[in-house]
Amino acid sequence: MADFRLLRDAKPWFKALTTKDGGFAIDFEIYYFCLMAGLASGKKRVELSTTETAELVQHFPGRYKERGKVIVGLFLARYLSSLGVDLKDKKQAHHQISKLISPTSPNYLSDDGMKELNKYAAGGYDEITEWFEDSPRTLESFLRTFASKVNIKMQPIPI
Amino acid sequence: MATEIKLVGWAATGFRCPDHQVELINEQNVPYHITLIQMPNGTGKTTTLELLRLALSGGAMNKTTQFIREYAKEEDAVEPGVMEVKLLVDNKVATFVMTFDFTQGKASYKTTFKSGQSSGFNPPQEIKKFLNPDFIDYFILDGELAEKLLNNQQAAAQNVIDALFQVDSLKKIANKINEYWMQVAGGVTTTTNQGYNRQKNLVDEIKIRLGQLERECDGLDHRIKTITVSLASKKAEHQAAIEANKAQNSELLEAQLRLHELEIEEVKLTTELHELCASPENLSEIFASSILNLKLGLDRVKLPEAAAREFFEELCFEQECICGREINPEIVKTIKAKASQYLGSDDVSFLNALKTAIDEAVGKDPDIHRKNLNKHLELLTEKVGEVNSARTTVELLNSRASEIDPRVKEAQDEIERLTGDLREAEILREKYDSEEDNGQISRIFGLNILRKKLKDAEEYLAEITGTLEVKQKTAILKSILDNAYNVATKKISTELVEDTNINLKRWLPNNDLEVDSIHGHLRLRGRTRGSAGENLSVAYGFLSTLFNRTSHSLPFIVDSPAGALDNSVRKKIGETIPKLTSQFVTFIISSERQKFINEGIERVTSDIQYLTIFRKRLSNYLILAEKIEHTLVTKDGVIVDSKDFFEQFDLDDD
Repeated sequence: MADFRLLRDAKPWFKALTTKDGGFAIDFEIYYFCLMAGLASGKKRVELSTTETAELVQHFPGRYKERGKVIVGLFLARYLSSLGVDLKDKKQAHHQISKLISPTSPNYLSDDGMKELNKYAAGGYDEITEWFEDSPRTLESFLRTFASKVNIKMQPIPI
Repeated sequence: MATEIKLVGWAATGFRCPDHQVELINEQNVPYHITLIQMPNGTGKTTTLELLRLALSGGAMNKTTQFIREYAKEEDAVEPGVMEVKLLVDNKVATFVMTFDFTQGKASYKTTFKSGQSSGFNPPQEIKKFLNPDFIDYFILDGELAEKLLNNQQAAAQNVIDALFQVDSLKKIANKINEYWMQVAGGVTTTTNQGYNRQKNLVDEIKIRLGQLERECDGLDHRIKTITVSLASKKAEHQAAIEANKAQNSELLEAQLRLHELEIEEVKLTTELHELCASPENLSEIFASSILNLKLGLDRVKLPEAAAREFFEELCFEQECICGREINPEIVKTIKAKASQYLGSDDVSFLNALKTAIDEAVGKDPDIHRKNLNKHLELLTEKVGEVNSARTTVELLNSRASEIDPRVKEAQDEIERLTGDLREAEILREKYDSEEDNGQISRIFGLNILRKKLKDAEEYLAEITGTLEVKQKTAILKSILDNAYNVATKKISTELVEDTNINLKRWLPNNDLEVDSIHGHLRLRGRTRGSAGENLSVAYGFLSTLFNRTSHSLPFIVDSPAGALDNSVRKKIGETIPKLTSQFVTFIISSERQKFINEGIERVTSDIQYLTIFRKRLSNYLILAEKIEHTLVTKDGVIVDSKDFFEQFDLDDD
């Protein structure tokens, strides 16, 4: 069962937001925002070694618990689209979805699915560091910039 | 088992202090609760204390020739120096005789206990842990101990806790276990020595670096905490100075209030925006559409199907299909092949749940979510503008208040300085969280990286020596012991800190002096050091708490107990000392008596022995002393056991 894995570089970059009053109560928040940036921009790391990343959790924690399925849905939509999978082609859709999901896993993803998701999160971190001149100092400034940039940098991949 | 040690007396001859003999027992042969030994400066107070330490720790055995000879009464002394110390160990007499042979420059010991005399320093087993060079300073103490306990480069406070509560046994066992594994690993690798040595050196290198960085990091954490506390207190002072002049600063106070309200609103809007951003469909219309289109796409191709793979797999075991046709082996083959095109029941349930979740999150209009987020974004941006403007106003009015009131200015300057210091310390602290790994151990600063490297290196060492299983077992055992040590010391330290602070509050109610924690040394709250008197009070407070809590009873032998203390503190510490221990022996000079004895110790107990020791050449006092019963006059010293004489004797300097 694969874990969500966070790039080692990411945690220090978000340090100001992970302190006691920083706003990010759990490290998964970092992962989530990186993942969203990766899925928006379509950027992902081609290769991701375990030495570059650190284990985070296996399940969707905190407020993300109830949003886990929607996040997986977004990942499936964006990833299948990037592969050129046409959802009208039932056989192909069935084949790809079966490869990516694992309903018995606490994160609903197969090992292959989680590998891909982690690549998007890592690529998303690279993307975010381009969106910001410096690492964020307050949650308010981070969210405002993130919310604007994620819209601007969104790649409209039709599905 | 609890052990009681009492000091019965000692006799010193041939040393540079006057020859003297003291017995700390009353007519019933019971040691006094308090013994006050008055020795004017120059009488050899420090020498006597040092001799006591050496005699009761075996510490002279490894001393140099020069060290030994420095204790001689005169140069080229032929007569040996002999120090005989008597203890009561659980009511049984133990005698230690330490002899300094000044011609040879060597020390030797003889010990007498129960069955007879033996050569060497051989304290009874039950008190070995106290009578050794590492521990002796904690019950025969001088002014330097306070410095040691508070010195962040030393672990004196932790050491005494470890020794007294014997929690160090857990560490010792853990070290032994590690040594055992290293021994096993070392033994196996005799044929591959080079590889083993290289790996072993790597393990050692990482351990040393990790230990050093952990200490540095710990120091910085404390500095940050200290500055943060000071900053909060300075901000409170700054605010108090502003509020003290309400009329003049009314505009500023109003602006501060407005800023505070706006900041609360800003936090609320930020929290709301955070909540919205945490749902993907809110971040972009394209995200929302993508998710919705996935659901619609799946619906379109009827995924998941109404039937799951398992339905067809089970059908293969039936004789007939549900339509009534016979199922022969050929049909079974076909059904099995086609079944793989269907999703499993778990997958079916998940996809159905996924679609429901998408329906609930996105609904029918994917564009509405980002629009809602945009509204919040605008509100927050507007609020940030208001906060910034309000902050500028406050800063402006602050500067004005500073110009008018020097107290406001002073506090403000201090706040700026502390803020700068805090930032500097935080920047220095950052590198210890670094995840950077450039390979070379000496260039790694990230503690987590080093901890992981140590674990990997130890495991590899175990692997190459074929001792992985032993390593894993020893690691588990070591982790249990480390955990037990940490839990025990944390609990003990917390209780000791609380009780020490109760003492300090009683002695120094106006000094705002508190111990924050024990991290090897005693850390003060909100400051790095106190005055000499404060440090001494902290040391007394800590040691008295410590001695009170342990089940062992040790004498407390102290040099100059009140020297650095103010009169008001002397009185309070004097009142407390008799409660610290069942035997308190102190070396004192006449100027220290004031308040400490008459308004302190004597108020609490009358079981006090008053001894005065001085050099024979003080002829005026010698004449007086000779008139007193039991006065002992030696070759060069006089020992008087009398309260009246003690009180009349008034000589600070020789």
